[in-house]
Amino acid sequence: MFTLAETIMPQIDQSLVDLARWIPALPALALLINGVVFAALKPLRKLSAAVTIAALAGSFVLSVLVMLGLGDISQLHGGITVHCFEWISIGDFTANFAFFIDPLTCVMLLVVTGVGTLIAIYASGYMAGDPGYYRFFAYIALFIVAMTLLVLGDNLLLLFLGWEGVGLSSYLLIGYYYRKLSARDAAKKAFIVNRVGDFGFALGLMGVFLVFGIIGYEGLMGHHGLADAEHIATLPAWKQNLVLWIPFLLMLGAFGKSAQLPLHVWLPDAMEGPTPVSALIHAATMVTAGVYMIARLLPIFQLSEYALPTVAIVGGVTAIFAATIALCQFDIKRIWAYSTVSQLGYMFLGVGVAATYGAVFHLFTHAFFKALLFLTAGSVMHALAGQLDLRRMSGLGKKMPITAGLMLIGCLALAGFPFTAGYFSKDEILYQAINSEFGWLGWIGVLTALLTAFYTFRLWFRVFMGETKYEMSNEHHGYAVDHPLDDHAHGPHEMSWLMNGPLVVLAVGALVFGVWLGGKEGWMMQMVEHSSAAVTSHASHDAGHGAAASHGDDHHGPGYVSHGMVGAISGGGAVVMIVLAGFFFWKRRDLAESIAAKLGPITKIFENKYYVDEAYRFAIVLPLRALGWFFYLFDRVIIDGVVLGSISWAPRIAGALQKPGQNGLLQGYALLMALGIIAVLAVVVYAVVL
Amino acid sequence: METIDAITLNHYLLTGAALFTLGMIGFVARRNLIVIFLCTEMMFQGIVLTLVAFSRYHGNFDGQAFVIFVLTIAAAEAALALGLVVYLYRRKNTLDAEAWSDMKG
Repeated sequence: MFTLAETIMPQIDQSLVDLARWIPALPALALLINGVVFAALKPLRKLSAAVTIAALAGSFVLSVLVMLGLGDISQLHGGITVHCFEWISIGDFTANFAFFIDPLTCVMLLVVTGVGTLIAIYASGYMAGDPGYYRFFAYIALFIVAMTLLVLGDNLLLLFLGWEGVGLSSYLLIGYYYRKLSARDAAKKAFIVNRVGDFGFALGLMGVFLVFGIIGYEGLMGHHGLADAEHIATLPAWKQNLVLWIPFLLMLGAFGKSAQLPLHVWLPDAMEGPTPVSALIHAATMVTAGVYMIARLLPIFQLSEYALPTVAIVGGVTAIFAATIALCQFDIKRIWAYSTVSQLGYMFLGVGVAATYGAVFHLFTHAFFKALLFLTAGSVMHALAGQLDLRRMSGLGKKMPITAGLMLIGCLALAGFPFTAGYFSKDEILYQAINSEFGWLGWIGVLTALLTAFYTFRLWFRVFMGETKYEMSNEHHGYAVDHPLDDHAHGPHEMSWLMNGPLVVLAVGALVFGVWLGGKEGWMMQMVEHSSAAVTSHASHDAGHGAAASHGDDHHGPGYVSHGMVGAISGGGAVVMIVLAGFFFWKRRDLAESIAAKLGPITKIFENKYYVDEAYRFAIVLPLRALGWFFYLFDRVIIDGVVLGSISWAPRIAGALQKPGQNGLLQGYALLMALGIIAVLAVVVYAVVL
Repeated sequence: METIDAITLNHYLLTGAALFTLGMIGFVARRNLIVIFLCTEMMFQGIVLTLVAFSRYHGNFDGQAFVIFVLTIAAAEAALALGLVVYLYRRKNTLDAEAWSDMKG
């Protein structure tokens, strides 16, 4: 097979890149210490957070070193493989435990370990006093292990391993408060919905193996990779047909993991988990795995000319669909959850129009501001003993000014306020989308951006502005308590700096990363353009001239909208919507309510999430339940009744007939045995002698 | 030496068979646990005699080696079985095998 030797440039420091091996190993060690040592030794459990944070921070430092080891990435062609050990080798099939390091890997690693470390620090304060402290950090460590494997893996099988690993840790963490029925249900829902997507992924993986015989990125998408139109033209016809299905199957996995239509239903329910989990797994990292997968496997997705357009359409439609739902929700975490679904829709729209730079950039900035939003929501929840209902809190800004300020920064970034991080990354996607052949999706994206600004500030103004009043809830770390006036429930208070510190870092990121890292010559562009996600020549032009325009080409079509124009429309729109939200939800809430009431049926639809859950309930859950009842009755009537009543008598009668033979007398048995031996002997003697 | 030569393989086999059969009859007919146990030992001896006889007849020492094993195991088994008999006696105060017919169907 083809090797990478020829692409390794002298400035690459292999010894630094080889450190990648330790990136999943450190959290794995933390997992072992938490899951085995601390589980057994109770007095040591207060160290769980410290151990986990140290491991995550170590992984982050290693990720930075690995990135530095790549040297001048503009000289880099393809990635570097770091071999750990031979994992599976059967005949021609090999799947090594090896890591594929390219700039895209580095970006993802920095997000996962960096944001992961910050959230773990926050969680060490947030989860303090929880009886399952060590269990929580063990799960977090498991998640980071799986997520780094997902990002690092150099073949589809390792990607799949990480993919399932993050699914497992997501399940465990959603159901972390396992005494709550809703948490258990949400965990099962997330796992089962993800199974649907993962089934597609598994089929796609098998399809890749069936067609190409290999599953490594390098062999598929490297310099002379097999996932190439010229090579495929030489394959037998059935393989050529199968190839067209592979992107769609893989896509299904991405839609499930990243909560895109129609598999988005699990993400809002996943908010049953502890808030740091919502921030880390269900906003910043795991849910972006689908975007990463498509960006990573872009050449494979280009095998079918309909694949990327499908991704773009699903992404665009999901973006506006989820944004309208977020508009009418009252649960803070659910609003952020639908907002996450919507922002993931943007990222899919981005990769779908082959604007991987915008998609990965948005993934990066979104990780920061959405983690910030979730964690500040967690602070509010912490302060109000689990209260999340917008209608039951108001004007908390005076009590919690720091939290209010931090969330304001997150909100500005999410809303795409000019010159925040979210503004740059979102505009990149919108600009590419508007100038692709799916211009209408781009305009839907612009509309979504306006809605985003509105619902974001609806929440912020309602929670932090206006008259100060609130109702405490009665939850303490997910469990209802009878004594609501313990140390955690003495009314809205500012969080400790252990919790606010990481938020400040996230807030700074949400503010400056756009200016700092964005732009044509910016770091992010360099990283994406020199990775496998780069829109290369065999990306062809069927993705529209959006891709070409990003390279500074000047042959613009008639409907061309310049970058500045898009920025002005969405940025200006965001400002207008923020002002509008301020008017309605700070100054004139009565007016907002009366308008909502006038729009009755529409608000109702949004509030009930387009009845998707109900539709699934009627189309899938209830028929399955009916089938279950049918089998239950079959078991009861046919198996227990008829079969047990008739056939079961045969052995009983046979037994009754033989019963007298067992007289319990030793001599009787001995006699029978002797007679038996004599009979056998007689037969043998008769046969042999006579 | 002549007298020994006059005894043929058949004599040994007949003696062995007689020992075995007597042992088996005793095992089936007697009720006393100790006697039943002694009868099994007698059956062993019948078999062992046959093995030695064949071994000598064929000039092959496998049979005799086998006998050593049988005797060793019989010794171990005797210790165990007599212990069990003592234990059974303590439970029912009798050596009658019929006292232990609880397992009838």
